[in-house]
Amino acid sequence: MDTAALKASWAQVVPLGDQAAAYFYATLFSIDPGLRNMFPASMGGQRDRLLSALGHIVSNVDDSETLVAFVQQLGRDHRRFEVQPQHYPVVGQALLHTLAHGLGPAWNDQLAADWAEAYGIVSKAMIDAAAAVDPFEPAWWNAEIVAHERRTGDIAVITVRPQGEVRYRAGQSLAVESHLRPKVWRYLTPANAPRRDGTIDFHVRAVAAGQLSPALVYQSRVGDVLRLGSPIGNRLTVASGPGPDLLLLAGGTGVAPMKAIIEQLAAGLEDRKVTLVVGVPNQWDLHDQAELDQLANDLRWVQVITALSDDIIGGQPMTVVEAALRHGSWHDRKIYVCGSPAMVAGTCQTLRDEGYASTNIHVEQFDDKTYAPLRASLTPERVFEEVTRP
Amino acid sequence: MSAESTPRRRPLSPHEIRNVRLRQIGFRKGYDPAEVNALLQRVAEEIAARDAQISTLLNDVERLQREVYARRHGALPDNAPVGLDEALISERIQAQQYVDEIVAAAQTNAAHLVAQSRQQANEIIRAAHAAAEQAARNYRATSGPSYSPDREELARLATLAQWAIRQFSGLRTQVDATDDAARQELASILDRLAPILYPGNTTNGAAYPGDPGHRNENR
Repeated sequence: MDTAALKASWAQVVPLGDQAAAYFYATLFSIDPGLRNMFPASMGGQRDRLLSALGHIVSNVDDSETLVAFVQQLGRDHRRFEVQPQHYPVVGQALLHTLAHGLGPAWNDQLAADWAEAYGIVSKAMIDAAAAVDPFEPAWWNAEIVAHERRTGDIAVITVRPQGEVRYRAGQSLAVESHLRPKVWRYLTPANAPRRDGTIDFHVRAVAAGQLSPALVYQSRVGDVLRLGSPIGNRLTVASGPGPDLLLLAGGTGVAPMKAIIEQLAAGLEDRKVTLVVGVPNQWDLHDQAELDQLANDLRWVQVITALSDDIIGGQPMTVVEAALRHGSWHDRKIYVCGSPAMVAGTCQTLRDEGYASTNIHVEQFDDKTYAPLRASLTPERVFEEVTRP
Repeated sequence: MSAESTPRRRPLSPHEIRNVRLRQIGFRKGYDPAEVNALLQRVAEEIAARDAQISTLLNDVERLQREVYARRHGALPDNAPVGLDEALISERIQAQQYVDEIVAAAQTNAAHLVAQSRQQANEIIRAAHAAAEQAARNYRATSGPSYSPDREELARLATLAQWAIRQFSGLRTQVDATDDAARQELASILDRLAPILYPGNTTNGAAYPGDPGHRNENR
C-alpha cells in the first residue's frame, strides 16, 4: 500500500470539502436508500464530521498506533448508530466512487487498489473493535426521564434512570439522543458523580438555533426514554486522591461537570479546597443557585462565587474570569473551564494574558461539528489551541 | 497476524543454524566437521527459503480472509463501475441541499425570534426597575419625618407589581390567540419576573464592584 499516494490523493479531495461530502452521501444513499434512515434529517454538521474523521485516518496512515486506537474507538462508538458489518462495504464503495469522481483523471487502478486495501483494514478494525466490546457494553443505554424541571426560561434539569450501569467519571460527557429528534446526538455532561441508584442529572439549555436541546427543554416529558452513548472525555476529570486545589469556572449549564467533580471529591477523604465561579447574564438566569448554596453550606472546603455578565438591573456586569481574578490569585490551582464556546475562549484568553500556565487550565468541548472521539484523541495542547482560537 | 503454531521455544533462525558450534569431546569418533558444517549451511538455506514462503502465504491468507469476510458481509469495495446513475446522485445532492437550507433558515429564524423576545423581556424588566426606583425616590422626597425603609421598599414592589400586571394582561390576549410556544415564552417571562417581585429569594451576584467588561459571554 502506497501511503504517500493515499495522502497525496486525499490532499486533492480536501479542497472540495462540503461538495465531496455531499457527493459521498448522495452516492451512499443511491447505492442503498435504506441507509438514509440512519442519519438525521439535516446533514449539515454530518459532513464536517465525516471529513474530519477521514482526514484524521488518512493523515495518520503511517502512524499505526495512533490510527489503531482511533479506529477502534470509532468502531465502538458507531454501535450507537446501529451500524452493522454489512454496511461497511457499501460505505467503502461510496467512498471510492467519491474519490474517483473528485480526482478525475488522477484516479487510476493502483490508487483504487490502495484505497480499497486501506479501507478494508480500517473497516475490519472497526468491525472487530465493535464485536469485541459488544459482550461487555450495550450499544447504548435506554434511560427513562424520571424528573424534568424547568429552572429558567430556557434551562431544564432533566434526571434520567438508565437501564443498566453507565460507568462514567465525574467530568465526562455522554452522547444523548431523543425520539423527538431521531439520529441527532448531542453531548451532555452529568451534573452528579455516579450514584448508587444510577440516576443522572443533565442541565440542558435550549440553544436558540439548536436541534436537540430545545426539544429536550420544551417538549420532553417524564416517562420519555432517551438513549445514552458511552462516556467520553478525559480533560475535565479529576484523579481521586490528594492533589492540588481547584478553581472551577462555569458559564451557565457549564456548572454540570463542576458539580460532579465536587461530589466526587466530597465522597473522598482528601483535603482539597475548591472555588467555583458561576457566571450567567442576569440573576434570573441562575438555574441552580439553591443547590449551589446548599453545597457551599454543607462542604466547608467549597466556595461559590456568582458573576453576572449583563446584570441589567444591578449595573455591575462581570464575567466569570473577572470575578475569579478579583477574588484572588490562583496560580497554585488546577483550573477547570466549562461553558459556551465564547465563554471558554474568553476565559482561556484572559487567563493566558494574566500569565496562567496553560498546562494548569483544563478545557474540553464536544461540539456538533467535530466528531467527538476525534476531538477526544487530540492532545490537551491541541484542544487548548482550538478553544482559544478566535 | 503471526503464525498460530509458533512453539513456546523461540525457533532457531537460519543464521543461528549456520553459525552453530558443537563442542567436540575427547578423541571419540565423530562426524566430519566439514560435512556437518555443509549440512548446517544447507539446512539454514532451506529454512530461510521456507520462512520467506510462509510469510508470503500468511500475507495471502490474511488478504483472502479479509476478502472472504467482506464478501460474506456484502461486497468488497472496488472501483468496478456499479451502475451508479450520476443524474440520480446530483438530484439527491440538490434535494439534500434544499432540506439543509430550509432547516438552517428555520433555525436562524428561531434564534432571531428568541433573541428578540429576550431583548424585549430585558427591556421590560429594565423599565420596570427604573419606574420602581423612581417611585422610591418620590417616596423619599415626599415622606419627610415619617420615612421608613419598609415603606420605601413597598413603594418599589407596588410599582413592580403594577408593571407585571400590565404586562400579563397584554400577554394574555396574545397567548390565547397563539400556541404552546408563546405559552412557553410567557412562562419564561413569569420566571424572570418572580425574582424581582420576591427579591429576597435570590442571591445578589453583583457584590463586587467592577467595570463593564466582555458582556454576554456567560452562557
